[in-house]
Amino acid sequence: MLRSLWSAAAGMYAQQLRVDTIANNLANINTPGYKRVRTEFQDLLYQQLAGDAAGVTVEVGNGVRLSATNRIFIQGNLLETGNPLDLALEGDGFFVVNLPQGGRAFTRDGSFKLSSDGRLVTSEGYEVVMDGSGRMPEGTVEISVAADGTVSALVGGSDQPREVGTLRLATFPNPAGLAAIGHNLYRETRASGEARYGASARVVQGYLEAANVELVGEMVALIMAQRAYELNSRSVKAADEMLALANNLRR
Amino acid sequence: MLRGLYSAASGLRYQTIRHDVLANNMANATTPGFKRSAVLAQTFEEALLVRMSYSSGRPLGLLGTMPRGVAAAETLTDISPGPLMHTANPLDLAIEGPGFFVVETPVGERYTRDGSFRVSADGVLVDGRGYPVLGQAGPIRVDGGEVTVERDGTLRVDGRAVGRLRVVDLLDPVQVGENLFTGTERGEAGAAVVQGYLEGSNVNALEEMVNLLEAFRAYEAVAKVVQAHDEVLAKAVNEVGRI
Repeated sequence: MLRSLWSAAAGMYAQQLRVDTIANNLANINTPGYKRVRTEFQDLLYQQLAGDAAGVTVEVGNGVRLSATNRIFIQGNLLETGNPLDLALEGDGFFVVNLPQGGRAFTRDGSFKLSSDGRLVTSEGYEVVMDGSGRMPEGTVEISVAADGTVSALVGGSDQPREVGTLRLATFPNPAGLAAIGHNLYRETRASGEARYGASARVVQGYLEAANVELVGEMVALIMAQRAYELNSRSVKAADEMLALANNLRR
Repeated sequence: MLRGLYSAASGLRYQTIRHDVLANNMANATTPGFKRSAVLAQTFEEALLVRMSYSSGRPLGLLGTMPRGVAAAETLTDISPGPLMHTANPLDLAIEGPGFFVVETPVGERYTRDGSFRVSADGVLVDGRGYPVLGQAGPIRVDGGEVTVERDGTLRVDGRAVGRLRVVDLLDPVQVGENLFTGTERGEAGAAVVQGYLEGSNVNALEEMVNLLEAFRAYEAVAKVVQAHDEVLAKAVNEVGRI
């Protein structure tokens, strides 16, 4: 009896976490470079209540648990913005960012800005890592980024763009293992494996990568989560009523 | 008299176990590759009823037989397929038809229908728990690049074949948690592997609710029988024997 109560409670808790995740995906539907997160469930251990040598057993499971949240790194749509400092990645890979407290972070959000000293930075002002000087010369009127990540600056009065550096791109054996640290940034972990530099992704200038959240898919998942939550609440109710009946056997 | 009381109690216990199993099915209504369980009942051995002589204490004749209650005999795993859900994730695999993927756990080979796989930090195809998924030649390395899976289970990375998934048929699959099964292998299942899909749970909310209602009402009915026995006993003790 109590086992069914706990199984149902586990089911409700799992669905609640699923709704939390869906809500976060939906909230980030307009976040550039956001990758949707999926909850994954597993059944819990089974207890053997009775059994014989022939392998005929009575087994009762103990419910469900959230086994993992898995980030799905499918390519998002490219949205044209016309802004020369908006960069999108087509294919596997991440931009590399220097954190102010030291260390590296990785991102797919290419909505970059220029800092006061002419460097490419993220919206938070974190420096984007480039091979080469990476500093736009004074008097730059136009910045162009080639598909391979080469950044060139055109200085006023000159008609030849000058190469200032190449965007460093990283890939991981298991991107789903990266730790999200907010601000559209990821950190390398043991699960993700070590960053490898030199990705095959194409850099597209004047575009941003939209979130890969699919509205319809998330809504369907939301409906399923809500109904499954309801289903489990029914089994809590039934367990409760059965306990009440047992308690009232002796009047 | 008391015999009936114990039969009724065994009924309460059986419906409780049934409800435990139903609750587990419902909790796993959205667990990929989950297979619902059902409980089979059996009656206890029948007892012979014999009429005894009051004076001599010897049997006078046979009255017939009477069952002595009910017990859960066996839980069965319903291995009917769940719905295939499109996820577009290249490492989500589903099996069309019978069969199980094979994973290597620390306690030996286990089987699963949950194909939400990923690549480990050292480039090996693993399941959600990090157990390597086995191909015909052991664990499969899928280092970098685009992964495509053909219907026969052949994995290709950037067009280069890196292994073929084992999909085996099982005799008497038993669920052991973590979306894993044990069982006796009966060779290759010959089922198709589809990429970008996950198999949902085969729990049907309607069916489980009907079973829940039935188990609950049966519990209620047996509880009434227990109460009736109690009242009859009360009469015997308090009224018939009044001096």
